[in-house]
Amino acid sequence: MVPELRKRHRLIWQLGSILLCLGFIAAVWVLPVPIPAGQWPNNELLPFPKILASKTAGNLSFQLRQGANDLKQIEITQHQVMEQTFVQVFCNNALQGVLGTQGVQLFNLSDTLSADPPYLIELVDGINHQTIHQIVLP
Amino acid sequence: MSVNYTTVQWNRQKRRYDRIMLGIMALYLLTFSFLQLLFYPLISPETLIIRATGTLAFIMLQFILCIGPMARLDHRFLPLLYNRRHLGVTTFLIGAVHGVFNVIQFHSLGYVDPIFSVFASNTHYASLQDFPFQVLGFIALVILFLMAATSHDFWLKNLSPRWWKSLHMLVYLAYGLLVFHVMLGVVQLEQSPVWIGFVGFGLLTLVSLHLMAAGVEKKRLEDQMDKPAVGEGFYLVCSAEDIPENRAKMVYLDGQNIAVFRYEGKVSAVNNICRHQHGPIGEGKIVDGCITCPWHGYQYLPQNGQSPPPFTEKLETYDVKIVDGQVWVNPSPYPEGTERPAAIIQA
Repeated sequence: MVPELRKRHRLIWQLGSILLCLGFIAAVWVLPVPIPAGQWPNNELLPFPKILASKTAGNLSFQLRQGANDLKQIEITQHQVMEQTFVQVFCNNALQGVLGTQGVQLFNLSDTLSADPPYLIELVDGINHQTIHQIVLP
Repeated sequence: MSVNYTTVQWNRQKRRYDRIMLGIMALYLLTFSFLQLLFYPLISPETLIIRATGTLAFIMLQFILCIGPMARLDHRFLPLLYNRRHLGVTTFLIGAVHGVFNVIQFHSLGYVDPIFSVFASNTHYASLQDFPFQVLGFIALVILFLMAATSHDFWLKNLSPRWWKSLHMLVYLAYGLLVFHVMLGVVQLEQSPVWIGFVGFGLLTLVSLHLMAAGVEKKRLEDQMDKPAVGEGFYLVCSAEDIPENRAKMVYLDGQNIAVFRYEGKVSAVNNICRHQHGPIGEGKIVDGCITCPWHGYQYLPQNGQSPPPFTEKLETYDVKIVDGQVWVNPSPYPEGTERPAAIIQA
């Protein structure tokens, strides 16, 4: 390799090592807080027995269910696949998880949330940060 | 080394190299697929292919970029350099499978052109956390495509080694783009320490190797430039005993990059830059009476710098003399291929 080329390599790597390392640290720095494991779409949850309220919005159906100890559960049914690929589900501004594929999906509310009706359910496009649907269950 | 262009240059060593490369790739893909199916039994075949090819292409690129500095730091790694071109083209092909499957899976079911969708489906270019990382992978793949498409000696000859090398140095940009493709993509989505460690370890290794090799090379060049000049334009290089048989001492004299070879009780000096890809002739050795470039095996006769017939490559030659066992070189070059008498080492 000619000395000029060696020099160019050296400069590229001296500069590149600084930029790459800074970029790497910045990417780790901005890592989002992970969604708790229990809040990912969970197909193993069983529906609570009592339906308290039902609503429809677009191709989605929402049901508020009640279980033992007055705990509440939100049931969301996607009748058609949504255009958005990453949809987050919020209840009273608290993240409950993300919407999976077409079909029925259940989200158990915590004790505190269960005891705090009415329930403002928001579906947010996680990529574009736009609210897709906003409904209130009593 | 070949007189005429052939589609793919293979010889016994290259076939062996390629077989080992394909074997390791197959082993990686099988192991990766097995582990994915073990930990994610519901994974779809498309996702499995995307993950397996993406990680494999990244590892291969990382390895390719390590070969250069490893070979400069330790000559035992030179055989890896010999067929790096096949490794590079294969890396592009693996990366292309990853890219095509991604575009089909994530961008081809909408209302807009899939390639347009790669650039327009997520427009948070000002955000680090939500950055459209697919764009980085796409640009890196375009660079790897350009490199693979121009990897043949036909392009090297027609673009000239200088431009060809400059084009192929874009691989460093491609690597940087891919680091951020991973760090702003799967790492942000999954926050897995495994991915962070995987990229971080590779990055640290690569940067350390390149900086170490650059430091060693800079010191060698500085040592070479300290040679004092004497009468008749000759410079003292070293003792003849300091040059191992069939090997060279590289010196940088008066702006000339020179390789001084010792062989069969004689010493000859030629220009240190191979005419093929500007490889360091002086890091090679004499094989069957010919100086053999360590990069791709191009050969030259030490006394006149000419490639043996029917090849046509030629190097500049220099006058050499030996006084009291010391080698002296005149850095005024003779035209490429000029025969110069070798200096005889007295017993």
